[in-house]
Amino acid sequence: MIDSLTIALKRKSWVPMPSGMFGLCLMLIFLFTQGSKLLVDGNTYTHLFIGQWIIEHLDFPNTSLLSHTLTESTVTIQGWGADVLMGLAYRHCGLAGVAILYSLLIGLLFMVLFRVLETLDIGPWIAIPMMTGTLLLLYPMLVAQPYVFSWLLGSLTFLVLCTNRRYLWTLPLIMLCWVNLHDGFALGIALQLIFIIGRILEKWDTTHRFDTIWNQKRELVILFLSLAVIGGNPYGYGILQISFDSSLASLALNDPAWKSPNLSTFLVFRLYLAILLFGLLLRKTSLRWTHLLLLLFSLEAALSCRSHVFVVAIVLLPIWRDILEPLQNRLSKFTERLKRGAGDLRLSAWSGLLFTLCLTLLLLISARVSLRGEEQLLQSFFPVSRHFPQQAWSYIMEQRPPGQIFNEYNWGAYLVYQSHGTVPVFIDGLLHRNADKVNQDYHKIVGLKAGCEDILDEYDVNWILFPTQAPLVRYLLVSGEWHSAYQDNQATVLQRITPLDSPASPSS
Amino acid sequence: MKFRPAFLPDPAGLYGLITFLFLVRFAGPKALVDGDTLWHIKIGQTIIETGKLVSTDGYSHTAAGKEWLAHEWLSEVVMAAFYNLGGLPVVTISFFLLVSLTFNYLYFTAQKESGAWSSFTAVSLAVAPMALTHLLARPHIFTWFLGAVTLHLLICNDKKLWILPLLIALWSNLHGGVLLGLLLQGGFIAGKLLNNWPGMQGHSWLAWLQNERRILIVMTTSIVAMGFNPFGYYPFSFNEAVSADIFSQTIGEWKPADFQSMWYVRAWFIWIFIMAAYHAGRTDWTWRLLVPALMWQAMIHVRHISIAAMFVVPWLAQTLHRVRVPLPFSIMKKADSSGEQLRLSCWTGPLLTFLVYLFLVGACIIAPPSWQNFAEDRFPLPDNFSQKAINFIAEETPGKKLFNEYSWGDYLIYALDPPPPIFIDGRADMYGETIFNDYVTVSMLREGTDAVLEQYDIDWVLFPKDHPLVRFLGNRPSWRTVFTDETTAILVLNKGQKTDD
Repeated sequence: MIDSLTIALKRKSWVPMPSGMFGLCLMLIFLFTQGSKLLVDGNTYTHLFIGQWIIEHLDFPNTSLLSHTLTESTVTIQGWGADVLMGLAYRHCGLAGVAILYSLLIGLLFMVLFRVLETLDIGPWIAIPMMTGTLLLLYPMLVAQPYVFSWLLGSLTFLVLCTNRRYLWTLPLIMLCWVNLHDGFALGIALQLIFIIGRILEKWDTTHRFDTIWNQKRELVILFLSLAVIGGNPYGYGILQISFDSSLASLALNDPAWKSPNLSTFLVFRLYLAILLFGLLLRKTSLRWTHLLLLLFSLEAALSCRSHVFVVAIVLLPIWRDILEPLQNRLSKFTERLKRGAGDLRLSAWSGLLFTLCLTLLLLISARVSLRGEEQLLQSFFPVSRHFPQQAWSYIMEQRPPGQIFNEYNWGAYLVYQSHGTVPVFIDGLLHRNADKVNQDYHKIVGLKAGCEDILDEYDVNWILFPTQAPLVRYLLVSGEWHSAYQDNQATVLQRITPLDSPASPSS
Repeated sequence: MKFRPAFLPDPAGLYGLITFLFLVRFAGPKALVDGDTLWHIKIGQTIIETGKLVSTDGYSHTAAGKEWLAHEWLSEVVMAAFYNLGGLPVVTISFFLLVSLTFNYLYFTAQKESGAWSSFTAVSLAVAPMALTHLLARPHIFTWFLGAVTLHLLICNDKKLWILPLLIALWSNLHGGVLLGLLLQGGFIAGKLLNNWPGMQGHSWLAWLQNERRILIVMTTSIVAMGFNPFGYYPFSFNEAVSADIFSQTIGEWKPADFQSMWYVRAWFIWIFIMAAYHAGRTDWTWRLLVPALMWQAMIHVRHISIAAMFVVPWLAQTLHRVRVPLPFSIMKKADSSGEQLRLSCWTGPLLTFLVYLFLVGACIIAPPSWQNFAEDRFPLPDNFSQKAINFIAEETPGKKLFNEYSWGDYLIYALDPPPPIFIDGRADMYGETIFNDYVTVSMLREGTDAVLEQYDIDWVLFPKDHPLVRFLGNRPSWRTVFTDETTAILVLNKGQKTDD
């Protein structure tokens, strides 16, 4: 029986490689244990709303309709492709569809990263703990947001660059998709540049300087093509300026995702850095130029901004390979024995991917059926996060308080999503990324700075939706100008006792 | 051959002297920005006046009578003595002398195992900027200096190593950072063990113990010597007490570094990683253990960055010295080493620094009018400490139970004799998590603000004028503002009323 199975396995190479298996398992485990965690971030809901708008109107939404603090020209919809994909998943399969889409992306991400390790000749016994460590490092940031597309495409670019020119020609195509999916596409260009400069420095020959550079002609052409295709998006090459401005504006935000990582509380990253440093000091040879440049680039990115920690997780894999090489050599005796036991079992590089995609399709179909059915079993797995003020929202929809709203930063996206744009918000995490003044004013109000009441007047705010525990609520209630119209343990709706003169109805 | 005594200062000594002059000219306001300096001085004065160590709290109404050990008593006595001599400028200048001697020592130590240029680069680009993250006139400067001496002795590993237990005994009376002395010794012993693991290359455990008996005995004696202070092994628990979450999330120096705004810390951090990657294969086990351990601490608290930068500097200088970058072009020419070498003294630099220090201290004591203006300009207290508010309180204390801003607690202890019973000051370890948490609740207007004010029977508040708490209470009929100036406001609870009336 076992012999016949072995023969069958030898004939057909459909058994997935460890990378494919890991990605597939991870996707399923993540979907059914952490799927609802994917939907806790407010920005997800703004993306869903924008995606649906684009699908319905085949145009970008006028963001000034979504917020009373934005003018029409303030916001551009970068990464519209990701929004459309999210919108499609939501439209046809509900929130379950969005969770399935992002679980697929996470599965594929780890499949590609595992593949990078396989390319670097790292056996599964070391690769699996390494991937688990990477998962722990990225876990706090694993939510349904378009930057996961950047992670996936970044790791794909890295895989291509590590495979010694074999699939190099795919890079411009990857870049074309990337530029329409998320504004992190600059990472792709940076990685290409690092590999080119690193290889030139590694092979530098003072007597044949031109030849050293000429040897990189194919990489340089690919880089040129990748730069050229950046223009293939609705904003053309203006996307470069937009992305640059957006990055600068994001860094100025008080959003923890755009602050430098708090190494006191982010234990996994601290541990990662300490072990990396120890590992580097243990090595017997210096790193190659390319690896040194990758180390420099990734540490600069990750220490500057928490949302860039993924760069470290992706591009330092070859350095970990160098660090763990002695362990790999020791384990090789053991793995040789295992290989002999398995005979000449052939593994497929594509079957894992194929299984994952097929399974995703099945899950999406189930989600659609569940959405149309009465029981909605699958949908109940992925509810709107309880972090959002659902009961307070019901009150607002019932009472429709007049005038403009001042809302909590993370709840803005939820209001956009629930009201379908009929309640223009004060602020949210996505549309207001570039709106410096609104951000500053928001933080002045929340920080109860001197003159915060005047800012509320300036924006004609007549009602406030904020967490009940927030100092702002207590502060305004004492001021005598506001009263509590609704309150539960999570949220409070404050209304002006004497409304301002120029109210605009939220339903207008 | 004629003997010519060396009198020119060596680069390390010159570096120390320049550092001292630079600090006196530019760093005075920064060194006094923290209120803790003030309560340390006051405690020191109390010890000198009473001839007894302080073992209970006598300044607050929240922890009145609670046991509190002034475990840094010797630093406080020294600070108070300098303060009595010539005020805050003498205290600050004395700490600057200690900082410059630390730099001098670190440069000297780094130079022993590397070259002059690599030591200069490592100290200038790593130690100096990182020291600025925690350059305050407070007892931790003793830890900087004593740590540098310990490191030097451990690297030299000669007969002078026997000084270490004495140093540790002194250190344990000066600052709670004495544990660093033990960490360094432990790192060196573990490094020696791993470098020559017994059983490998024919070594036996007995031979290893025989070889390393000096450092092992020194370490054991140091552990015993650490208890040679009036409070025994209390410093062990002090470090744990102040590392609680509430402190590390609220008090600036206990927070982790913000790598975005502190770009120079980020650059230093990355530099350490790049050097570790480049220096591969040449690092011995001592540094393999100490560098990650020190960097681990630097990642947790911003106050540990300066410590880490200082004590990895010999390794950094060594690494820089060995770097042979295969650049595509040559950037340096070899210096011509033929001819007579200039003789330099390692004592002249510190001596000159000390003479300049004596001159400045003399000026503070004699205090001619021109110097007084200079001292007031260079060593001022922070602007937010209002003398007008102090005068107002001195005239008549507005209430019995005060709720004050954290650093104002230090200033009240320092500026008024006796100070009114305060809510909190910089002695966070003494107040403990509960009182500190209550302080945070009210100052951030968190839920439970009114309950805390009532629980402590607070009847007057001293806070910065623009703070939300002032407006929050000012909007209530139960509170009235009795004093306000450019920076400070004092509010009083109306008699017979409760906070939430």
